[in-house]
Amino acid sequence: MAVLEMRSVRKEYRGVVALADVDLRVERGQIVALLGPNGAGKSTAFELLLGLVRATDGEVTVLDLPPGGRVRRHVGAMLQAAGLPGQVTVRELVRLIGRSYPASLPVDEVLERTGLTSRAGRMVTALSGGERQRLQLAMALVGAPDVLLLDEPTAAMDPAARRAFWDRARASVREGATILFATHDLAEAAAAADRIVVLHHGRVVAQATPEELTNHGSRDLEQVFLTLTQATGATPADGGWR
Amino acid sequence: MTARVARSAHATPLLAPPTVRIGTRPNRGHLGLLALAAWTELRASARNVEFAVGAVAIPVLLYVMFALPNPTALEGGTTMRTAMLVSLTAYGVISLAVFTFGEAVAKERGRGWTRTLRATPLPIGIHLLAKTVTAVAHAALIVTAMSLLAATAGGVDLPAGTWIAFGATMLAGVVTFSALGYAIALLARPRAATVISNLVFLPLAFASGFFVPLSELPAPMRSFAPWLPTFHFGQLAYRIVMPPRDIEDLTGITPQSVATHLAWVTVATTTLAGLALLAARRESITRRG
Repeated sequence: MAVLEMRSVRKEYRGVVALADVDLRVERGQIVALLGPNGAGKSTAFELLLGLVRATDGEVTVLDLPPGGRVRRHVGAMLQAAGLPGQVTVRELVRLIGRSYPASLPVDEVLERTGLTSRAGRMVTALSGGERQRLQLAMALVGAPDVLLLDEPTAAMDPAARRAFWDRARASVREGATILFATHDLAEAAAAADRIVVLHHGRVVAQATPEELTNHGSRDLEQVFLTLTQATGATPADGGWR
Repeated sequence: MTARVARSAHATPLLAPPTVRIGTRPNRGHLGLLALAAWTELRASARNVEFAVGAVAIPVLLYVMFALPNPTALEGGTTMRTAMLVSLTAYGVISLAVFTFGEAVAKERGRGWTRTLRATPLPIGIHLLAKTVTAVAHAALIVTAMSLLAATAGGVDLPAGTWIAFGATMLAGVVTFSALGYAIALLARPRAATVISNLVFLPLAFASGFFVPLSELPAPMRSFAPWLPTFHFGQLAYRIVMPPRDIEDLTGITPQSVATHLAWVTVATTTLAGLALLAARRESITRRG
């Protein structure tokens, strides 16, 4: 079953093409990495899957339903540069978001898993950048959703925390979760994902397992990535966009 | 470089998705979610001491400065201290509605919190309803503080039922005029919301006779007042504590029927609420951030 699906999706913002003819299918129990340079369209793909924006053309489904609405109760999201409220504590915010899901994990457990136990009583406005990112991750996890959409989930983590995070993510997937994450980090994508989708200038330029992309280790992933993103340098101005 | 993450069989999962049917309600239901959201808002607002104190202190201070030194009465016997209890409390609750919703919600939009919320299952409606509950709690503080001051220092003596009706009308006012606040919050650019809230609220309060009795204002302003929903709200509130003759003496305008004043307030707030809903819908579908 496709948990996340985009069919021939195009998204324009006032004439600027953010995504063009994107086909993406993520099956239940997979970890899929959305890899691409800045401006590749990763965040737009997340916004479409979350129902925050509508596709200009094409179809987007989450758990076979249009994104947003009731399906949000089955999706946990961590957005890039997401805004947070003022004057609430970390614990209050995680508890509130957890309560909005049909079932939620114990707040203290989520705070422990995201390294925020010592910050539980702190105001959200007093958190550092890294702590704010971990708070967003806690908000994504607390509802024990079927699907996790994570934009740069480990950017604020040290290597050990990152390793532990992906170990736990893998364990979650074994229990039925599905994860789509965006990253710039080639090594992380290769190490954590079952499949890598490379986006460049709003188009999918490659979609394969890490092994297929590197030809079972015989090619350097960084070189593969550079080749893919330099060889397909079409921009809207080139007229190569539909 | 491409070594796979160790797939430890013993790692604790980040989450273990339960089997939940699509459409299942939030745990503890929507009312439970609203209760928690309102409690979280109340706690957050209690931390914003400047706002809470300001909201209560300004009408109280105005009453001390202008009502307490005024021992006069209107022709029908209603004291100016009673009349100003109504006008300054109305000023306080409408100010609360405009600034709680207009300014605070606009700030949340500017900060990106409403966008983040839209990516969670917490309905924006429940979030805004929780804010309304908080505003009603603040309004109750204003009404209590003003009533205590008027009854003690001001010697205002009203039957128990009148006090209750007055308080209920003021609480209804904060809910009603929250539509104006939402309209400002959702239609204005977040950075402009504070200025627009002031530009809308101060003339409304002044031209409705909340600061200075309308009878003392120039005739053009008096003729403009009946076009304002805040004026009609004031008329409804005056009705509770004084006879129509004193209302006319105070405002220089012949009071209309309760139904007419109610219709003005209802039509104005329904229109504003409709505009706010349209703006919210437009933003939720098309905008980023």
